[in-house]
Amino acid sequence: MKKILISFLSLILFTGCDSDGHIQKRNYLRSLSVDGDNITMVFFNDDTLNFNSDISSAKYIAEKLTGNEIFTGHTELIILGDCDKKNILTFMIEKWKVSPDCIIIFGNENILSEKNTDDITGMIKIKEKNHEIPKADIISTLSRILN
Amino acid sequence: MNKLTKFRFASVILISDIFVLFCLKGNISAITAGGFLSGILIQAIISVPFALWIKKGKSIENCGNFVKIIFMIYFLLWATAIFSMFWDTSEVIYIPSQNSGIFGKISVLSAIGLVCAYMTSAGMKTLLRSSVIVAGMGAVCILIVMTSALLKSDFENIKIIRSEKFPNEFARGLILSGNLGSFAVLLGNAKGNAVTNSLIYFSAKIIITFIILMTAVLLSGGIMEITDFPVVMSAQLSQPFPSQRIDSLFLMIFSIFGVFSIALQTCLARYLFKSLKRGS
Amino acid sequence: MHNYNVPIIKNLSENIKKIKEISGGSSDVLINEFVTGSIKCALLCCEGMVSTALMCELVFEPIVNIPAKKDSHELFNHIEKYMLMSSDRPKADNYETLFRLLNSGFAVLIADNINYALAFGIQGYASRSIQESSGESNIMGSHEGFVEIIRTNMSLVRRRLKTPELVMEIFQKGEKSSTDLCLCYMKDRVPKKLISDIKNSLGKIKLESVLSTGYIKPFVERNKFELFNSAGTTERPDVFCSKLIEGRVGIFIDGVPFAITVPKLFCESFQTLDDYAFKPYYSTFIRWIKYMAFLTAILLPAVYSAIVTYHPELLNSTMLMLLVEAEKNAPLSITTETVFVLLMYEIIREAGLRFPKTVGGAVSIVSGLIIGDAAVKSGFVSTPLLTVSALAVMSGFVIPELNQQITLLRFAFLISGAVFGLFGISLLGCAVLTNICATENYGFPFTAPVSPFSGSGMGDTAVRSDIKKMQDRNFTVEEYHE
Repeated sequence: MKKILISFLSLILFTGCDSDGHIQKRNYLRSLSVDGDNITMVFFNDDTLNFNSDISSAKYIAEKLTGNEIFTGHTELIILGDCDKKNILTFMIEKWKVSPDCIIIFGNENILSEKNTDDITGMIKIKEKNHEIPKADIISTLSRILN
Repeated sequence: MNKLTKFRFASVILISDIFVLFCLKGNISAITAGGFLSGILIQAIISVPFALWIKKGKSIENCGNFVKIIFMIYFLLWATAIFSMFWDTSEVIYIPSQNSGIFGKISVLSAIGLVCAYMTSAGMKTLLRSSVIVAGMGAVCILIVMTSALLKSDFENIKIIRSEKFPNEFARGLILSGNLGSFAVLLGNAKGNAVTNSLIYFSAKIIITFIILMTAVLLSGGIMEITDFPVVMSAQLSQPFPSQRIDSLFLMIFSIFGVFSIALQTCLARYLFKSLKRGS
Repeated sequence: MHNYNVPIIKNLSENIKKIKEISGGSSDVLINEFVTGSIKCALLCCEGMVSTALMCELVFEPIVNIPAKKDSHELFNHIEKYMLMSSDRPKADNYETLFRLLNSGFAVLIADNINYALAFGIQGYASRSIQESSGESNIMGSHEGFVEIIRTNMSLVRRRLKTPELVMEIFQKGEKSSTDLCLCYMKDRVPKKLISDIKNSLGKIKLESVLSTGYIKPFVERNKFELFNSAGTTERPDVFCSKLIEGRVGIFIDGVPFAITVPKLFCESFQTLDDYAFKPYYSTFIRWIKYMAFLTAILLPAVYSAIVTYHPELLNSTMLMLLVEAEKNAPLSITTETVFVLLMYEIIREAGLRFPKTVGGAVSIVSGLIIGDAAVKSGFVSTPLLTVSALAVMSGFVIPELNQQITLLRFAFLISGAVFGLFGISLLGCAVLTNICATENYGFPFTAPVSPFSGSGMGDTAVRSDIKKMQDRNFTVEEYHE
């Protein structure tokens, strides 16, 4: 019994020491633009990635291109151009688990090349506060689309 | 088993009831809340004659071996059902290793099994003591999650009703009332007036069910179409402050309540088994 | 095994021969033969155990001036009735008792043609004076701590509880050591069943020696595996007295400056006597600091590791980027770094305890330089991780009594968090909670007054009620018995 316990504990120790615990070996997605098949990703370290793909395999392709795992839970901005907005937003919530405060804009990828994420999100929040636009977070936006 | 206080009696079963609500699958709306609450009210009314029977000094343990065996099998089946709900819902909540192939799944299963087995082996007395502490902690955590969820809620979502119909939701509520078995066995071991204990339990259940369901409707009512687990979704959308999520707090309550609920059923089965052995 | 429970030999020469045989010719057993009252006698003592001055003044001087007696019985009768000589005057009718008294610092008088010995309590062995307790310091209360001499400890308690209800029963345990143990309780407060149960438990002790509380505690705790001790220890007489007043039982062990108290509750680990010297609001604040410190000490490294590895969405983006930047050069995973840092802290702490005091300063310098400076600058460990680990370790020092459990649980939670994230921490938390709730001693649940819940008990657990409100409570632990 003691041997089994010791082996089990050793196994756990080994598991704990593997490479999964390296947070610096991930890319953290900050903003995303989807315009047809054109995907643009901007990360927190200011790297930008452009490629063609459908949304379901976008993360996999991006991980292949960068060589690092991509974490999407802190996505702050999503720009949707010519695409199925309902399916993409559903996919973002269910699979990518983006932050509920993630801002959704309908536009094209040029917005990301003209302004940085901070400026865009700041502008949207000011407009929301002044009731110039309805709530732009992903939940409210998807709610409006579904209903 | 020592006599339970009213608080312990209610808290030990409510923990399991809340867990069942966490695992609620499918669309919900204000009609669902209405159906569930009506179901609980009917159960409360039906429980009164049972409580009066308990008040006369009777109990499930005194009903003969056949009844004990039926209840034992019932508890084991309901434990399996709760485990199945746990496993289904954990697909949506992120449990590390669960998606790491067969080894990952086995390790998660083993961990749950080990903890449940240990809790069962510690006995009913220990489980009842820990229920007070778990209920207290759980209440605080749920309050935090629900309050943050409410900050993001939309009261227009109450009006959204899809395909839910009152009789279907009423029946759905009854199907999820598997903890009535625990209620029946534990009521005989609770101190004080059985009718009062029963009414306190059902009142608390009504209030908690209302709070959880309505919070889920208010928060995720707008996106209910794409939501498989509305209560889980509403916890995942909780964000009390900008860029600060607390859905992982929900993961902790979910895990603790889940393990506790399974252990309660197995503990009760073990308790009845020991009672059978003593009788023979 | 030798049995010394044989009656004392009447003939003096044979008696002395027997004593020398039993003692194996030990050089510290002194035998002074003399004649008094026309009877041949011998005075035995252990060198270094008796006070030479007292022996001369209280024993030698009066005893050599006894007028002639008919026989030894008359001599001993005269000594017992007409000469006081010391306040503690037991008799020994067998060699086991004789040697126990001799080795306890008594002077033993034997005479020719009599089958028992008289002993005089004139102990004068060197002992440590009463000092402040090393492990349980306080600000506003007494600065006295228990010492190694059991009778001194008994006097410290007796001074504080001047009531005849305080009972102290001395008995011996340990076949070789014959260590004095003292059972203390307030006979009007203690549950009767508790006393009889504890006496039964102590009756099962068959040890050869009793040298620390660790020898006795397993006998007064349950046999099941319990993470936390259900029997407490204290080095302070004021704390000990407060436990006795609450109806608990205390056990002193000769040679050990710690007393055992039974039963113990979990919440007591967070209470100090200083709490009752400060204002209630401040004491309540400090209590909650301790509860949070306990949870921080156990959970912080595990939660940090789990969140950073598996649940980074729980951190806000600014903090996350800070951590990513800090971990850029770290070669190891977060969990491995944390295990390494915590192990280093344990090594340094243990070294600090065991090192001779003259080189103790070097430990601080080396540990500060190596851990605090070199490891961080080299990128081997990151600063946020070091901060988290240091915070956890410092939080553990707030409750030194629970140091063993905190250290091991910290590692256990870290491993479970590393494997299963917050889910693993929750599962292990359930298991630990179950173990704590299963802990009980003689029917007193360890988790009282939280579970079973007692509203009045929360007045000294969740908060520190005013002394005036507590004075009418007449609290004893019997309230929590299940």
